[in-house]
Amino acid sequence: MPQFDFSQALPQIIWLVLVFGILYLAVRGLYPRVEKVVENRKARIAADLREAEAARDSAEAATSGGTTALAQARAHALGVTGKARDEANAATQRRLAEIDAGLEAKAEAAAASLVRQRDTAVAELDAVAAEAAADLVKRVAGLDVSNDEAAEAVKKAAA
Amino acid sequence: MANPLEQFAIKRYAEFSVAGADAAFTNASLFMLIVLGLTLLFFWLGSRNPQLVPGRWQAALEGATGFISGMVEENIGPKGRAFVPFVFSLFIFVLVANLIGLFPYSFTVTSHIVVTFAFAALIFLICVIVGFAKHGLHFFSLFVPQNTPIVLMPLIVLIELISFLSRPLTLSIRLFANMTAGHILLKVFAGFVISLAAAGGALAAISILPFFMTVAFYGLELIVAVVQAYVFALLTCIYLNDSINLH
Repeated sequence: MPQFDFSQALPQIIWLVLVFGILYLAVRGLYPRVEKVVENRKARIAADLREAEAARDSAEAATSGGTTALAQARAHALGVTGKARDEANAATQRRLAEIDAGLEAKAEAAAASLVRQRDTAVAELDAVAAEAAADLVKRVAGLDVSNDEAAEAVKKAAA
Repeated sequence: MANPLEQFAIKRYAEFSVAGADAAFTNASLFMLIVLGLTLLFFWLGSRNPQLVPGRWQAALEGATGFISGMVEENIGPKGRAFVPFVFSLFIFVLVANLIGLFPYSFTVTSHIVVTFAFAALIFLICVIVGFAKHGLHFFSLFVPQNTPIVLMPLIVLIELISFLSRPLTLSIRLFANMTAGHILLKVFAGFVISLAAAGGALAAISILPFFMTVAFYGLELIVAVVQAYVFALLTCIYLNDSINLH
């Protein structure tokens, strides 16, 4: 087996020491460069992730702020329209009450004037009846009856 | 039939010597340089133009570094950060060497006990040095598991000591044996295909069987190549953890 022919060992060892020495020095010099690239990438990814998280948080805050603003605006709008409606209702109610009151007053006035007119009519009727009675008496009995007496008699008869 | 061990032979391409020591440029040296070149190419492709969203090469490189960083973090903890480049170097060297070795006519650097034992010895030395540097003589408490009955103490300490000292052997032999056995098996079955086909007639027809066997073994060897690199890196982490955090 050529492996156990140690007469050829020395050149192998010398070349191995030389080549592996160069390889080790080269690797020691180059290795940090490769690792640095990897670490930079890791740092970059971590930073990007942090940034994305912050952006997401602020977006979430913005949307929640938007919804609260919306809710406030809606509540405010509801308040305003409610108040306007209540005011309008109250105004209508007042106006209706005023109109009712006016109508009632007119009706009462009309009723009063009706009563008054009836009374005057009735009073006039009495006078007409007395006159007619005096007239009748004069024509039938030939008696001259004064208006007062006739009126007295009509009142007695009507009572 | 071709000798299945031929693929492990060291071929000397050019003679060098360093301070009198034989440092010939061999096929092993060549494939070590290929491993180094491919690793550097991988780093270049993966990190020349870093993007926030990685491309294919960048994703592959970051996957590999993240895998080893995670393994070290998991097995050693934050104290192990300084060893990440070392464990990554081991992992990528063993992985690329194993995978390159699966190309036909290539040479598998990690199929040589000399190479795997050199790695294991280096890891063992680092573990011992780190252990004594961090804990001083207290490092010896590694051999005394907690809550050991005093009667069993000599036996347990002996077992722990043997298991600690055998680590470089097991670590190196595991990788070497896996690579060597797999390559021999592939070569043998591939050799059957050629011999049967050359025999002609009915034998040529059944040469399809070892061919499919070779394909299946090749798939298995791909898994073994990756798993052995993973195991090598993982065991390095576990041994380093013992030195850094004791247990």
